[in-house]
Amino acid sequence: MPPQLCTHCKTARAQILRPKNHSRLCAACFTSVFESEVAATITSTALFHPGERIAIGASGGKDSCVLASVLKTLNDRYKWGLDLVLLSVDEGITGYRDHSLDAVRRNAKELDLPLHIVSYEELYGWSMDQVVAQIGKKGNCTYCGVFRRQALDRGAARLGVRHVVTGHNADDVAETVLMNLLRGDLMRLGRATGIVTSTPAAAVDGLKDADGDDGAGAGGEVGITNVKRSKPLMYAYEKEIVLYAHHKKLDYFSTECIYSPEAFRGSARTLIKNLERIRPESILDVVRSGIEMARLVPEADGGCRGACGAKGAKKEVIQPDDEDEGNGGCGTGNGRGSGGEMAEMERKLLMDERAEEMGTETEIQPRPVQNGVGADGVKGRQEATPAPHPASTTIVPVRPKKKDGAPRAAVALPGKQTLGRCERCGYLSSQAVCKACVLLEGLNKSRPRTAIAVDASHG
Amino acid sequence: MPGRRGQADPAKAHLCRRCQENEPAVTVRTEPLCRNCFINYIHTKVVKRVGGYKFAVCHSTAQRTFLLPLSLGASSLTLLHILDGYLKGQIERTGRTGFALHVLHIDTSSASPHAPTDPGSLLSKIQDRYPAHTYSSIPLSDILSDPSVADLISAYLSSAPPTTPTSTLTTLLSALPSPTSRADVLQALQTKLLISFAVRHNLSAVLLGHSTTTLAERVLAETAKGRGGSLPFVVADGEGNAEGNGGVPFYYPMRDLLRKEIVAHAALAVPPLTGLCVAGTGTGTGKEREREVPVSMKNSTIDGLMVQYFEGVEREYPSIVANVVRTAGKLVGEGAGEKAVRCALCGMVVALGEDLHGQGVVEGEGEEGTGRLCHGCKRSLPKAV
Repeated sequence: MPPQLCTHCKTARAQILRPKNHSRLCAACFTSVFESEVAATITSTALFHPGERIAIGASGGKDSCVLASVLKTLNDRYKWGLDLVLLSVDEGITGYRDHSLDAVRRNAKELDLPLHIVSYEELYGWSMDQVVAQIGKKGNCTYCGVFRRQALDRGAARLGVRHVVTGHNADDVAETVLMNLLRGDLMRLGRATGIVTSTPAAAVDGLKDADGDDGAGAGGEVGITNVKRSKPLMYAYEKEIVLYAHHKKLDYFSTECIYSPEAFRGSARTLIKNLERIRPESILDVVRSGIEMARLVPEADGGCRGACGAKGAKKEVIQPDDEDEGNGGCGTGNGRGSGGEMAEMERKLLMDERAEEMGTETEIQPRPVQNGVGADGVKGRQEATPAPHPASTTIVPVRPKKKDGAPRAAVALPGKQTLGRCERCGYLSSQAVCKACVLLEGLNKSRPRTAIAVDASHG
Repeated sequence: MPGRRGQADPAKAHLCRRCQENEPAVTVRTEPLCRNCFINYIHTKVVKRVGGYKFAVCHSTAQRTFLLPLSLGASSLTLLHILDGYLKGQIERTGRTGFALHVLHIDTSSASPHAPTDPGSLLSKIQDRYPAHTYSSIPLSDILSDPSVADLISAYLSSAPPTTPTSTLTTLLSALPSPTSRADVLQALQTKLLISFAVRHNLSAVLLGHSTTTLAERVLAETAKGRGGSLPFVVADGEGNAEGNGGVPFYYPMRDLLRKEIVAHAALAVPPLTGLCVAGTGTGTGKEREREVPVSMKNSTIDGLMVQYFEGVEREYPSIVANVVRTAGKLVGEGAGEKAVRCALCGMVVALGEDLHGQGVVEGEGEEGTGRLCHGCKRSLPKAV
């Protein structure tokens, strides 16, 4: 049997079977098709504007490595005039991050892009190794996830960049869609599939003109609350990213974080991998479903949340997710807690159910009990997720004690999430004090007083 | 979830949590229950649902009849068992019933390897035990007499049109690209047949034996098949899903129960239901038999994967199963206008001009699709226009 020819150029031997459409391509056509698909995503969503300064969140892993390489290639090819920089976060995990940072350094050299590294140590006074030494291996992913989100924004602000791109791929997005269905997180379900996920906080600044110091200053200075996030690779298969990296001979680091993964994401990931084996197209189908579902989330506005980009979508949708929603580089997601996560949620849901039954039986409770069900379980996980929820279903969350009775800095957006700034560090938060500051406070309590030298607000 | 809980008496801790008299026979979520209390629990869950439906109460006007599709699996049989008792109770109390049942078995033996082998004898046994209802059995190939389906299939099998309906169906199914596509098309055709049967016989609603687990499986399966936009209709109960089902509402009275509870009940019911449903595990519906894990992933289906997945979740974290359904239920369905184009196969609104920024368009797909099929159905019937 003669070798099959590439369906694209019809001359070279086909080497690659694409999961998304079963077409067979040669290596050269594959890389060019891959690049033009990413370019199509970027142009059809009007993701960048000419001359924009873009920070590429670089972990040293395959996704961000491919993202940097593709963006550099496309920027040169199409003369977009983008000012690209690599931005890395050093969590301070010995044996993992130190090696992956070496890979990032080699990349930066190879691609001739400037590299900037911000470390947890300098931002928060705690490296992840120190955090783990303090609190143990259980639940440390919560710290890492919360810290990383801010770290990227703070790093970008320092560089004067308003736009950070991350290497989330289609598998990650599909995983997040399933995960949010499993844990009943409707608000995140609404956000998971937006290509732009975070806050160009012009809307917040508009609301809070008085203290605009942290927002977009007139002089072009970038505040930490004014950095938007996007994921240009959200329609690219993980498999194809690996193939692209392989054929372009990119140098990346492929060890996963040594600390623990989270249960829901792990469960969703297994499911996605099995789905891919049964029907490879299903990964993009899940992403598509996610986009459709986002449109159906009550009070979702902007329709597709930026997924339809240029086609008349509202740009300034406030999407405060005070956590990363994917794997910002550690490969295990923003882990909130260890394997007991699903069991814990099960317990919460069971208690809700019981409460509902008791409620309906005794008919003493004046509050309609259905309100609490379902979303309650999610809210119950307060320690791990201070997730913003619609005002209409708000239930008072269990919040760590506040020492000072300071007024809440939150601004209520009717019918939407309550978004404001952390009163300590100025970061976007739905609470008076942002999650990172709360976590830091907990950590710092156990340190001798003299050690609390690094002020998070000066990040 | 059992409702009344007596004061915990440490001496009776080993007894049924509800009556505190008998030895427990089964553990429901975290509570050990005796046989009677468990049966009571199952019945209460279903009857509570049914009681909430407007149609269930007696009307002075002409009595309405509903379609109860019987797959011969544990779930649909249990629904028949419980509703039979419910209607008997209504007669005892008021001398009449709020509704009547038309039980329908769709014979899929020509199309599906999962079909029961001897449906006839099981059906007659069931009819003997619940004689108060009308019974019908029709082959799945009957759906081919529906002109819209005939059009769809002739477009797909343009080359050599087979002669008999049965061979058309077999040819169609074998021409589909994967086991997932076959299962998907089979399910869509069965739903279409239910709707057309209901319309033809003037049956005003369909009552299905779906458990919470079934609904949760469907939520994730439809998501994986690219039909996320249809989820509000998938999990809606009654009138909420009529729009997508040709105006015939589908009710799920067993949606508050887990599959494992229904299966346990089939064995504990008096007399047991196990002899009346499909043999093997004694509890097998089409879904349950998909549990048998195929040797190769290539031969498994998305539906089958979800059945396996939720079997595990149901065992470890039963409340999460219900939570998936509840979450999907919070999505708000888009009211389709009059002009909305509906998928010729699944009946959902076809989103026109949809495209994932040049990513979703695949050679030979998308371009030629004129919007007659939704994205998910196009996946399963890729050559159809």
